Amino acid sequence: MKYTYFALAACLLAGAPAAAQVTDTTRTATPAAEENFDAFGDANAGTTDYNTQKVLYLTPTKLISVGYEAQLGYNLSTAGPLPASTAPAVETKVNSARGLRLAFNAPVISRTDFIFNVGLTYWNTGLDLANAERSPYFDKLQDGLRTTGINTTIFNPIDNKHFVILQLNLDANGNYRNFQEVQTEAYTFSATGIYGWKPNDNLQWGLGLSRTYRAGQLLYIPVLLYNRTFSPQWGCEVIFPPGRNPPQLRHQRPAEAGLRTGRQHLLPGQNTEPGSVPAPRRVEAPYHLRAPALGFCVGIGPGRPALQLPQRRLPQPGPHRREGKHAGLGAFAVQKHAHQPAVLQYQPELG
Amino acid sequence: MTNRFLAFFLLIGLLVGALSAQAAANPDAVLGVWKNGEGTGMIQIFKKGDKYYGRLVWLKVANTPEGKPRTDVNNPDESKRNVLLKGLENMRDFTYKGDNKWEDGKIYDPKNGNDYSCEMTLVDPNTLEVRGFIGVSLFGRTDVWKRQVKK
Repeated sequence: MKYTYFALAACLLAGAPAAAQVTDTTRTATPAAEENFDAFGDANAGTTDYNTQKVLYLTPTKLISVGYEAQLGYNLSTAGPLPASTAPAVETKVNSARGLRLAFNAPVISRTDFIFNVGLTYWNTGLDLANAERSPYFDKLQDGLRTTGINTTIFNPIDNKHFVILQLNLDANGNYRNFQEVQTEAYTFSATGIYGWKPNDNLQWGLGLSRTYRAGQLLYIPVLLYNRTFSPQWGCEVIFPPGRNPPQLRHQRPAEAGLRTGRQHLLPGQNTEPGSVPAPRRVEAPYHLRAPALGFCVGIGPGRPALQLPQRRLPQPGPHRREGKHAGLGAFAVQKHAHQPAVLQYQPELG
Repeated sequence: MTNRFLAFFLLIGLLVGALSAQAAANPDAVLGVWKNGEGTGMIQIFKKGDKYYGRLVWLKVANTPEGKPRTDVNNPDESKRNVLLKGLENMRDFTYKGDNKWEDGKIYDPKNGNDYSCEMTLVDPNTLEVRGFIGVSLFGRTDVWKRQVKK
């Protein structure tokens, strides 16, 4: 008897969808091509339009980026207040600094109302120093400097005029050769949040707050985002203060100028005080003229030309790490503050 | 014996029910006028033979600052840069794959002159998810379109 009821239920299940197969020709028929579409509106009430994460002709996000940087020689010196146990300020010559830069960006979620990207970066710089024995810091730099990081970017449009951007970065900076050598102090966590406005397709701007590092100290600083398209050929993409992704003047026949800022690297094994670890800080302040369509970028700066292959361009906020002592020059010097990690700064010469 | 027969009949009935539910999805349910996620354009999806196509029928900004109808100025083919955007057939070759999905199509974005692979999913009768991508679907973007009706 029980199974009879189940059989009846099965008959009903089979029959109901068949009975529901009614073609609604009024809903699926296409309207005439000469229809006045100004009179059309949303079938559902209360729908929301959303703005996009770009302005017109914005530099596209690259999914995979491979770059190689080679710099000509320059002098390197240690300067500033040093612990008494180390030698006085010394100088040496960096014969070359070169390295590979890799970046990968994947749109995990990419929808009209929500975008979530995840990116991986790897930057490596090999240094060839003369007379590295003059300072234990120089000797450590022979291992090279590298940064490995993971980042996420969230773009959440609120409606067709307002949006929110959130970016998170986790980086390991140092002279490690493998991840087992990375110390906890080498990790930096940065974050930026921006609330923005997009009044039209050619203008997008926002204000926010960034959690970042400077001279070994954790800081919270305001951030300005400004993307503007002046014409199909010219525009600007600005993040201020500049981080890893610098402010750019954008040209459609592409040549881009920018200011690139640096990162702070951890050198383990050179403790000069209990609880402190020296962390060299690299700054690159020359302006770079980039011609990605031609396949290369040429760096132009006071006394330090560099050849650099195309890098990733992202109109996204990044952590602020601008550091240096000379406007327009890369500046490197050792500084040691009480209860803070010692830092090594490079000081390339002019000419 | 009777129990086994009834159990078998039950199983067959459930299978037929499932298949009937699949057959109830209408391949032509995507036809009509849709507004893109930004609200800047309307696309009319129509059918030619067994495939589905789309054309721009309305633009929020229909004219240039000079007052002329906008044309396909970003087309990589210079000979096509004078084609009016209104009426431009920018979606083509979609095939219904069942389960409210239309795949194997192409979509052209007149904003940048690029052509993308594309697939559409009818989420509900008035909501269409259009995903354009390069190569694999992972590297793409989904735009949510809303059905438009004459008011």
